[in-house]
Amino acid sequence: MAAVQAALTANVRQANRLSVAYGSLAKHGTGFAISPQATISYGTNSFGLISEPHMAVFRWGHSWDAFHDLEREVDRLLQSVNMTFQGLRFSRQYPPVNLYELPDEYLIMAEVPGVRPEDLELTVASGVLGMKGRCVEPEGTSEERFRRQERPRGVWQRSISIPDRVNVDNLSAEFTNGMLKIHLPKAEAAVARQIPVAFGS
Amino acid sequence: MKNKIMSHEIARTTPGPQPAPPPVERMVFTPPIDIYETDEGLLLRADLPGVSLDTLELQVQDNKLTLFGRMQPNIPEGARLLHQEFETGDFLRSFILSDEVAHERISAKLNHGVLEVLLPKAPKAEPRRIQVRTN
Repeated sequence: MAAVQAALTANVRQANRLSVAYGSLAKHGTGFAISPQATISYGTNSFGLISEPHMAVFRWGHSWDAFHDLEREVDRLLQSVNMTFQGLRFSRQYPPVNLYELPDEYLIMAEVPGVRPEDLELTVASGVLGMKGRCVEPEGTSEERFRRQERPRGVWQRSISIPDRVNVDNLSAEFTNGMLKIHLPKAEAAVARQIPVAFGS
Repeated sequence: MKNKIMSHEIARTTPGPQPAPPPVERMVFTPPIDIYETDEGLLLRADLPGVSLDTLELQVQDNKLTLFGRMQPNIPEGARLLHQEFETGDFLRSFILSDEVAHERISAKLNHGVLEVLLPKAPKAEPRRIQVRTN
């Protein structure tokens, strides 16, 4: 599948929406963990994941009669577990995001299957990375013809505050197989450098 | 979408004396699906983020349609996980197809992490008149 270079446009909106509900950041061992209620900090070593729940207009579909005549599902066990998980999924953030650290960059991975490249928008402004997109139904899909609907759809938006030690000018992103990957190169000062030691005689 | 069910990877049965590789534990997830009717039949869509054509298997056997996808998010070696909201693993889901689906004409495509399977309607069998005789 061709990797789509997602457009990164800086400076789209001001930081005013940062005052919206923060799902955010708590530090433990790694310094980069997250907790729902903590206040966000824009400190030097913090990524904050900001959730904007009012933006999410997802409808987590209802499952229709599982034993419909045309298709019946096997793996009953899986299914029953899945139903419980669907309940949990309500409280989940969309899209789910993982954050990794590498020697010279941070890596953000987000699961956004089915988003069309033209519906995906990434922005950077005032140290905040914004991700926006929508999951749409293909043309001509009418509501009553659904037998089952579990995939999330609607408009989503998430923001991630970026620590100072990221070089915001050189962000890049790729979208492959429904997976969005954002590279955040570390600023030079954050990359460990060898310091030569002079030994006196 | 995600089931916390651990799976043991099925050790491949390779002929020869070499021991089977140790089973690798991976998560198995039930991908969310949509099924809806079209004029041609049923259309099934499944979210399979991180699954490529190479890691996707779709098969029909004895009226059972099984989809299996291996998620390969291509995270570089040595990356340290700082924050996690999803896990990597395998997607598995299967369905029993009715006779109304023309099995031999099932087609599928994978686009941006979404699998789309078209299950065409089988033509209705014409009613056959049975001659009744008396002796």
